Amino acid sequence: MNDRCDESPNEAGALSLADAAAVIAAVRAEITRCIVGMETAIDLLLCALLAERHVLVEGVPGLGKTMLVSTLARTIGGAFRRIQFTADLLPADILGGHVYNQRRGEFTLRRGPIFAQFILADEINRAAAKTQSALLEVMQERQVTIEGETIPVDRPFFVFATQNPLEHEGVYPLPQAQLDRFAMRIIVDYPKAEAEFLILALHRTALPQPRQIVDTNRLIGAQCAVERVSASDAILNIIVSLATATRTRSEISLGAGPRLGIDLLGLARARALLDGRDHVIPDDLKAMFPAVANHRLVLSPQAEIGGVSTLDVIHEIIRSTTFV
Amino acid sequence: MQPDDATLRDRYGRAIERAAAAGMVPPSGLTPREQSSALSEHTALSADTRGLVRRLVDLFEQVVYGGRRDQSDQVAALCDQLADALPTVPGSAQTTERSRTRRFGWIDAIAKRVPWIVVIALAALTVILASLAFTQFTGAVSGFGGRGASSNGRSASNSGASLNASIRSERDRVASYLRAWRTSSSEVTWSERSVPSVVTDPPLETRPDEHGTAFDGSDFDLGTGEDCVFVDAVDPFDPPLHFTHRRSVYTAVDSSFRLGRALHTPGDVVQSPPIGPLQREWTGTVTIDLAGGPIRIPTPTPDFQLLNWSTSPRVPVRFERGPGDELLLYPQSRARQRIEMHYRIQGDGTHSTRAFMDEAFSPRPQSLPENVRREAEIAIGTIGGLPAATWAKTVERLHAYFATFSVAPIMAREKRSSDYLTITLARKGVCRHRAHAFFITAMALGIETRYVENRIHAFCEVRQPDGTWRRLEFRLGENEPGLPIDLNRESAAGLLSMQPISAAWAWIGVLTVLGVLLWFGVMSVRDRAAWRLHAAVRDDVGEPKWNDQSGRRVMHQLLEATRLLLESRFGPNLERLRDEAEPAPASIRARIAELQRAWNAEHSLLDDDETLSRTYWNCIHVFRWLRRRNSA
Repeated sequence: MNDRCDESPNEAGALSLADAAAVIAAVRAEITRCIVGMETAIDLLLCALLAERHVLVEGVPGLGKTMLVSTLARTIGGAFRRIQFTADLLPADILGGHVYNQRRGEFTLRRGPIFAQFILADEINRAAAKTQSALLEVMQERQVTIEGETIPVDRPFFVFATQNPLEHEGVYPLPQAQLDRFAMRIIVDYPKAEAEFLILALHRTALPQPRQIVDTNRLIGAQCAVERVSASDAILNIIVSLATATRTRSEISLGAGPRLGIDLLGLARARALLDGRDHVIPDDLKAMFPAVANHRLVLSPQAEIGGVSTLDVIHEIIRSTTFV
Repeated sequence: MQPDDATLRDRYGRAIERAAAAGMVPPSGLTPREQSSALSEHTALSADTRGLVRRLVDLFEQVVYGGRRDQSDQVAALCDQLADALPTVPGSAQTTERSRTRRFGWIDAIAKRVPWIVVIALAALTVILASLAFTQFTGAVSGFGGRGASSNGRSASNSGASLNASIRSERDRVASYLRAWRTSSSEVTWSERSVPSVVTDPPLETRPDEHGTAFDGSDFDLGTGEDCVFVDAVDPFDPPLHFTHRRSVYTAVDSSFRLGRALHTPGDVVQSPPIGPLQREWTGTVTIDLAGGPIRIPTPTPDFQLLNWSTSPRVPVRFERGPGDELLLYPQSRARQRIEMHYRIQGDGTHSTRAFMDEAFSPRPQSLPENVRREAEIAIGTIGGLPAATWAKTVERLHAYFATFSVAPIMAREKRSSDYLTITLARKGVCRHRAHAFFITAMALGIETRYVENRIHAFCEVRQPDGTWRRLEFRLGENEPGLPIDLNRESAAGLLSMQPISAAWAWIGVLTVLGVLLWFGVMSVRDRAAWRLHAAVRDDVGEPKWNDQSGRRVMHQLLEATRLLLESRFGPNLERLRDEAEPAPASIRARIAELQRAWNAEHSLLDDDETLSRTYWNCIHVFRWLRRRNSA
């Protein structure tokens, strides 16, 4: 992620912090014009955007998850592909493959929908493990290997996966190792009454269409600006204490690995940029920690039976950590 | 030299600690900005202090997080200023919290156990109510009609403590009494009088009309199926006895359940001395067909004094007292003739009304055939509560059972191994059935009984412990002038229903004792845990040997005991361990962390000796620390 900023800063147009903040603010304004009532989710998504991390969005059907991601994609102008995961989806349907062209008499590479900027993987828990791991490999490596041929994907590259938390039949839940690849899990809930009223009001008149505000190059520039947000040793110590707390609590049987700290740092820096600062403060960590940690923790059986939820444990960890 | 980040964070932390000790901010979980905003709203602080806090946090952020090292001095100075400006409240809130925990810790321990106690109490209550309901139900279907419930309620208050509350099965008790008897043999003549047979039609209960005449000729005994000719249809006595005069008395029963009487030995004394304080006189008139053999003359009471008699025409006769206290007339000649006899007779007027004796019941051996005794045992077991503590209670209970028979056809499903048992268990029959069944049952119980009958009625007499005979009437609901009925239906029902209540009380008592024992057992689990640890520490015998099962068992118990003590002191997840004003020393915290791993591992870690040994010493040291802390 850092290599592009160092290699050709002028080409990518690394922005100053103020400009980057302005870019993101404009994107935010456009999105909130079209989508009502998901402010926290939008903020988290924009942080993930700046930090170029992948996001898992969870919520019951009909809350606007797909609409959120497609609006974001259209605001930024990148290619948006939506992959509906079903039980019979194969890796070749995502990545692409070689197809025999009869006229020319040879195999040509047909690129799959993964070759885009914004990928919406709908209901990722419905596909078989083989397909899930194909997608997750691309998320990690940012390159696709089809029959020995390695093709990098275009930048920026985001994967937004959705899953329905209520389904228990016919799903292949993501294993813990794969869940760790997502930087954060955003849980989308029902809108409040006022927000629902506004949604209906929007639908009563014409639904606003998102306009493209920025292009992908400016986004890459903003991402490079995030690299310049500083994080002091104190912040790193707090991250370490948070990560250690997830491993030593008695209610948790499996804590978070170092990827939690790395993702938390990146996202806290993005949030600091959004806030107009050039340094990370503990409030950024505190704001990002629940979304970053809640899918990486596995509760112990006693805690589950006792009715303790992951969010309770996370709040307990926050309550007992010193954020100085 | 500029203070570095760690120093600045330390000083800032100490300043905030004072605010936390005063309860203005929580001790952890807030960022500096949040602490600043929390303190800014605190009205206990002056405006200057609040401004100071805001300035400090702004600067702190820039220096520590933003990297502006040139302001470090200023931050340090502001930290010191803040520490001075905050009120010095010496952590009172925290210590009161701790002392409250210590003082009311035992209440918390009980509160955790409360659900168990509630569950046990509810279960006990359910069992008691179920047993009460069951016994009420079985009592209600015993044929009292519509008055069963109300009389049960009334008699329960009358029963008192004089009831026999034995829990041993009735049959065992009765069998042990029966085994102690010797059977006495006596010569018995067997009459043709058989047991009243089971009737399938409602029997006709012959009753006298107001004028005292019952029949006008022949009658058909439904029981025996024989024609019987009643010569004397009227009550022979004046004042009238309403057909309770004594004519034939039976004192034994054979293996076919037939009644019999002992052979009369001539020469018995006719007169008996007066018995009760109330002596009455009756005059009787009977018509007799002399045929040379003895004739039974009706008598009012078993003790009688024949004051005077006359026959017309005059014939020489001789009187003797029969073995059942009957009056036997022996004509001196063998000539067949009909005579009329008037006689004056005196007897105990309390024969039917004297109270039952209240002394302790002790059975007298009565001779019964084995099969009759077996069936009677079944009947006694079914009635229940026999023998009672006193003679009066025994007789009253038995009498009440047989006095409350109903007059109805016996169903096919009620038939048992003998007609006697059928009648007794179905509780159906008229006077002769009731008296016959009572006679057998009372004899089996050890009460000397007689079956007494006249032309149209049957009843029983029981011999009291003082040797006198007392009549028992089995008709109910009537108060005849001159002969008060002993029991009416309601009090009879009450006597019979007393026994199930005692079973319910026994249940209540047993379950209460169990509940109390369980309560104490559950409550002292924590105390027992502490005692176990205390013993291990006090005896200081060192670690047990780990290569045998008892050593490992001791280890598991100590582990559980330590866990119990720690949880009761610091909460289920030991969260209060972190909140305490005096934190545990690092070594103790490390030991507790190790013990937590041992708990969570469900003892699978305790397989090798080294782990066992370490866990053992962890328990001991933690317990010692707890003890020091509690005593400090």
